Amino acid sequence: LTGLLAQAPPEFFSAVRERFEQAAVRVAPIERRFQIGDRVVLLRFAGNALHDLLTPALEHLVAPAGSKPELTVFLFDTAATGVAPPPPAWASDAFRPRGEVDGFNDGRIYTAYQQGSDVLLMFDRERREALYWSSDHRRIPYWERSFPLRTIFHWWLEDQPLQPVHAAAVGLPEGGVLIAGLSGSGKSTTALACLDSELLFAGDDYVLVRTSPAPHVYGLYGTAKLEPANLARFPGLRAAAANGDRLDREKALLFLNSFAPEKLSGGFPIRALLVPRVTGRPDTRLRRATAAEGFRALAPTTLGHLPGAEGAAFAKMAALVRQVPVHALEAGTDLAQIPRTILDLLRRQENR
Amino acid sequence: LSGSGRYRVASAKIVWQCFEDELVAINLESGKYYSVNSTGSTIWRLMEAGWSPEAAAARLLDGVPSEEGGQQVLAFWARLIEEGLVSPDPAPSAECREDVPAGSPWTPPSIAVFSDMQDLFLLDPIHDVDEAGWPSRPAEGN
Repeated sequence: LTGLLAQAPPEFFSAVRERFEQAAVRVAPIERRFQIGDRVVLLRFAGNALHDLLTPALEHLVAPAGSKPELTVFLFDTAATGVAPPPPAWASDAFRPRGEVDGFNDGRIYTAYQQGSDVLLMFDRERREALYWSSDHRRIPYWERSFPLRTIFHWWLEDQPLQPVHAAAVGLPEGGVLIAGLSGSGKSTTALACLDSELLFAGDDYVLVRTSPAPHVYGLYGTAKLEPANLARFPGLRAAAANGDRLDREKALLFLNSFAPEKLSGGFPIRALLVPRVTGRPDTRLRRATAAEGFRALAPTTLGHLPGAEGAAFAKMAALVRQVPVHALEAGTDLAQIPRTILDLLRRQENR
Repeated sequence: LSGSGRYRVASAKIVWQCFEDELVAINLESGKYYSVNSTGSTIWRLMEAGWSPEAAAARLLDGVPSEEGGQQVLAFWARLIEEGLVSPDPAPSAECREDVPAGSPWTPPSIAVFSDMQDLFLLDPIHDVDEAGWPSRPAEGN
């Protein structure tokens, strides 16, 4: 026991990594490469249990076989492989809010334990490797499938001008808008209202932004989540929900690559940041807002989900907001007005 | 609050950014975040640069003798301490820095507190652990 408690973060990382290799001997490993922003990530799964859960959100980002990865993530679960990680190398009171583990975030090693989904996440900056372990893939909640690995991407990109952010994004290849706000502010409704327009969809909940040399957003997850009560406003989407039998307790989970792959965008330059607000009135309007208002809609909620690396993330989000105009989007109930309003804004920006 | 004391941002868990007319700070321990107006933002930056509350008030109110303004600076500073954003600096540098922008004309400093993110920062109690010691509990919605 003493030996375990004395284990340093890199050694513990190696010990869990070794268990992955044992798991990958027991069940055939699967290797998949995905394009995350402008770089390639290799996911190595021990068996297909986690693969089948976590990759549907990323299928539109498949990278060529043999492309050189800048991050490798090793994923396994105990139920499907029979292999468990070593016991925690920390005391039971080391778990902090947002899953951070005291003493196991030292600038090289990053560690979080997602309670609720019971997933251990680790990243080793020196080796550019990450670990994802679940006790049982059947315990992974539906929402994890909508934004797999977002925390690992956040850690990995800490020293790069790239940042996963809690925002939606819609646009045209030449430019679009980022839509930021707390859960329930209208991000998903706004983004899904644009599916019936010429605007493309880059995400409704988590997207990847680049802050330099110019603001740009990359589509990250080909998913959308919608409150079941809101499904009535999008009658065409009900049949597409991947969890249609559980809408009494889950948001509707939509994989756009399964029913609207032509609407998915790999990304576009960011021309404006919108802060949506549901008004209950029919009409949609834009009101000019300050950079600080945009930042307040984007940064605290992003940091609320993503433990660690907060200073860098905060600075990157501020740099982004300083480079684009911010508008409050008073989203009306006549959904067709929402894409028209965004397209009008983009055309006005283009003509400037 | 010591009018002649020196202060600093309370911990590395307080992160903040200045915009043209507002400073936004977040306390990563509590999940509370804050909007500080233009004068408050200048006070914050003076505090960071090693100015005491009294020295900061004198600079902000330069040429406009105002007892009320001075009181407002001290009350605002006390509020920053009360919110856990600012604490006494145990090892202040010998000199305060002069490179703080003047900021916009005087308006009373103010701070707005936002608590709508706090549930994301609350520590979930650990109900059960498995045989190896890993926490384990029923999944919940998000």
